Amino acid sequence: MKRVLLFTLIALLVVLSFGSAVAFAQIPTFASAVNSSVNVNSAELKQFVQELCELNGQGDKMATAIYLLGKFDEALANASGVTTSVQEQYFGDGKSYSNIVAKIAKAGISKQLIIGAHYDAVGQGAGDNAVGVAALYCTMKALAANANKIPFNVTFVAFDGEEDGLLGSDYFVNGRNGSGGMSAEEKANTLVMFNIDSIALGQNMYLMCENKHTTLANTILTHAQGVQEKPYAKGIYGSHMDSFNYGYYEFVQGSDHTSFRLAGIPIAFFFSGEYKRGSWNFDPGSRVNTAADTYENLEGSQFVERIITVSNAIVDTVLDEQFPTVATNARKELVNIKLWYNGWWPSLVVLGILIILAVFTFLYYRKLQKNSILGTAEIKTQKVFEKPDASEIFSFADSNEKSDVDDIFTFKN
Amino acid sequence: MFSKFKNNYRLSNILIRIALVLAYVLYTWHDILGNTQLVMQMYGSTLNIPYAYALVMAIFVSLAIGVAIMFIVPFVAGLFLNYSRIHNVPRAEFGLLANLFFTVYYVICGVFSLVNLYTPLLLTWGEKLVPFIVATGCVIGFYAVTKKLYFNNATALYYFRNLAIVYFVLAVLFGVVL
Repeated sequence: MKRVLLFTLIALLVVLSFGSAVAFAQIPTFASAVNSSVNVNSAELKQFVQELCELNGQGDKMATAIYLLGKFDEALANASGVTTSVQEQYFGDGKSYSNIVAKIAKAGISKQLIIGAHYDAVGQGAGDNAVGVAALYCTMKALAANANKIPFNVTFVAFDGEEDGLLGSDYFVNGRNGSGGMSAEEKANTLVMFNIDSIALGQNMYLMCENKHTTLANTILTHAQGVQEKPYAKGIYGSHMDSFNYGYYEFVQGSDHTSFRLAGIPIAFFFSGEYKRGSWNFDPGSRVNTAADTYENLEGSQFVERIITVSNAIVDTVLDEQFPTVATNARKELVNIKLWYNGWWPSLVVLGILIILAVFTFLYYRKLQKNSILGTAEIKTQKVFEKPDASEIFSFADSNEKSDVDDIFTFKN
Repeated sequence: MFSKFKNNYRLSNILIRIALVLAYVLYTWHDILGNTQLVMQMYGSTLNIPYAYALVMAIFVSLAIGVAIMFIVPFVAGLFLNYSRIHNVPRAEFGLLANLFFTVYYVICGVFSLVNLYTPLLLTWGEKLVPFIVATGCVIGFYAVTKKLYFNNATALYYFRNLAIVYFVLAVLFGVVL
């Protein structure tokens, strides 16, 4: 009977675990239709991704940049106040990087949104990040069609040099050797930076705005079908790693939004992957940055739906009536990185406590000195565990009255 | 109950060592797991270990380091007595007490470090301040107990001075410089 009960219990546990695993493994449903106001379709997006993959595969970055510049011009053809440009950067080691920048500028408005995705790739870079650039293109088309409804300037950037350490976005924000970079005023006027990177590699799509819940994240998520908020702070921090001077390291810092976030600009980062029990795997297929990240291998990843989902999420958020207020207040919800994550402040506090402790230590030492001089200076050793104790072996006589050795120590029987 | 342990050195020694290893695992398992996962993410295409294996590996690494610490602490405590030229203190007991206070240190720090599983806000501050404050408390406790057991007004002076020097050197090194 006991065995039957035991087997039943085990069988029940197995069924329950499989059931919960299946429940958690449900594939999310992404948006399938672009907003009606946007003149873009699935075939066009597929073609865009395929062409970009082919150009990436050829390894000619200049050709890719020219192709994107043409696409940006095409996407923004009907909007007014548009400028497109290539931001060239030359590095000391002979490498050069080119950010492709397009801007919808409005007269008398200084506040801006930045929407970006990196276009540099390893191999074809289909998942990382041709699909992201296609989402940027789709968003660009949609916002250009609604430009008159947007109360901000909008800057679109296809970043270069992300795979080499966020070089393109770092140049865009901070410049290098006195050239490039945003002015302090531009940084202050940038309300939100949207970043799209690797949205078709993992099963789920996530949004991260800050390492805590924010109103900005809530607002975007109401428009992002099938996108989840990134689970925050699930114990996967490398406390002894800090790749971007953030103060701590987690893997989602490794994209272009980090350059903006470190400059104090609120960000919204769309990405894909799988979070399970505090473990983060952004590329379960292990294709990223390998020759296997091809257009053919995107099959079954719903990449078109993902592009549309991200594009709809950004466009609908920007057009949301609440968005100007949310975006303006987003900066207030940012964690103060320099205060909370900078290791120097707690080190200074420790130093301060140590100085105070040193004073008390000295005072206590003086007190011990005083006690030592005035004390009897008798020698004793107490043992916790072993018997017999010293006091059980011999006792001390009063030294004032007796001077002979035998008189001082009296051995017990 | 306590007197039973107090009178049985062998039992106390075994239990404290086991407690030390477990406390060390509590303190470090998720840090080792986190760093293992980050390394796996960086080299994801060539090194993709399932979470369960990574967790078991992290616990085993913690256990191994904990076992090493269980022997290192009494050894270092003995070295301290040697270099301080304090010869009237039973080394084994002194080492056992050191192990006991290290256990207390790891347990308290371990419980606080679990906070990092839920919010990174204490990651930088907590990682510096909590071990420092707990270590300071443990050193004071260790001094109070050992002074009461082995030293008097005259000898405590010399012992206190040496212990304070060691504490301040380590506190500046691990709490401020590193």
